[in-house]
Amino acid sequence: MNKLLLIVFFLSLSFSFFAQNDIYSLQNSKSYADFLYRSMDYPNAAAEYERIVFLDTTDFVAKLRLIKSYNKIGDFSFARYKINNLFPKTEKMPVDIARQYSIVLIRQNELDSARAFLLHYPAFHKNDKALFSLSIELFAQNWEEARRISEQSQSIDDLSFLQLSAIAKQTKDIKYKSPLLSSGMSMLVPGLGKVYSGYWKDGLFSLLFTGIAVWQSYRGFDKQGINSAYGWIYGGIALGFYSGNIYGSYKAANKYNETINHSIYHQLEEVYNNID
Amino acid sequence: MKWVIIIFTIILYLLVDNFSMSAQTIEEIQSLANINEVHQEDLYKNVREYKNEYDLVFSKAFLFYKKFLSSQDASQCSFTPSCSVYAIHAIKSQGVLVGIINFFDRFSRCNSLSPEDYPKNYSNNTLIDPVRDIKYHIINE
Repeated sequence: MNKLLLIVFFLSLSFSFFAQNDIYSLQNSKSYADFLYRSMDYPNAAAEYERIVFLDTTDFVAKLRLIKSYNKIGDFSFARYKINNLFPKTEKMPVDIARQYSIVLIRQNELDSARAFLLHYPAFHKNDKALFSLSIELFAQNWEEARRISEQSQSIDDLSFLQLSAIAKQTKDIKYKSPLLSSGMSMLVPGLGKVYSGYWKDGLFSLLFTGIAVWQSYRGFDKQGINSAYGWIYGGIALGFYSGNIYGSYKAANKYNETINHSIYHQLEEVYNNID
Repeated sequence: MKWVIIIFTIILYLLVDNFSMSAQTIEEIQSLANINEVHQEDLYKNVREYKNEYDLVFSKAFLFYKKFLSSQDASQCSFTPSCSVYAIHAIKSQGVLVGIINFFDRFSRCNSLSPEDYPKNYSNNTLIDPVRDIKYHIINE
């Protein structure tokens, strides 16, 4: 009886083998990858989709989500590498992949290539074409062209396009500072160009530094005449501060303009992070 | 008895001490020497390389300032890189005239009144302001 019980016990252990599943099977990997993708865990989703694409070379959805995952992570160079490997002929790639390819080109700042691709790829939907054309002009800081595209395509109700259109409209109010005007103002009154460029504290300090150095130089020359070393030394320092203030004013205007461009770039990035 | 204990202790001490003592080997001395040898990164390697006489004068002046003057006090500059490093970098990359003018602009901005205009370096509580040209492009070393 004991022997029989032992045999039954050991036999029952073998059921555990049947109970096990291969968790790395294609189907399970797909389910898990889809779960990760829906959970927006894109780095892990990309790793799972890599395995699926390896196991099943015909799975288009997995390929698309693999590329999307890399785009979502911000690894555009790898996304591009994957697109080139999986879809070597750019003109014949499916439209969803073409969308991702356009995103990659725009985010890699290869705007001329993006323009050429947009022009030559035949299957783009009208909305996508408008979206990417607008994006390219915005990223290239061609505000007027961006506004023209935005106004031409007012019937499009795609959310990303509307967000980009709003940014394009916003560019109408941009008023850049002229570096030359800024320098010119600082030539007349030290620091005035910096005040014009929005950096009034720097302007005030420029005026103060130059003014003090000039005053010291004047004192030296006034007391001891043209041979005053004090006057010449402070004169040299005053000249340095004066020239530096003109140079700095030109730079300040460029800094102001760069800050505006940066702020728009960040808005564009934010929209682009949500483009699927 | 007292003397016996004292003499015994001294003999014991000498014996134990003699057996336990051994001279340092050459390897041990070398390893100790290596401990004291600190490999410091040469922060001003680029400064030591100069293209012409002006470059040489400014490089030497900078190194003198850093070694004998600046090193005697805590860093007071509001920026990273400091004004002196900015100056030598600007002179080396933009030439003497433009470099000095660029430095004067930087020097007049060296106050902590505009922290909102610069990113912050949290490691030493300074403001990050790399050397930039007139178009506001960063000049790399």
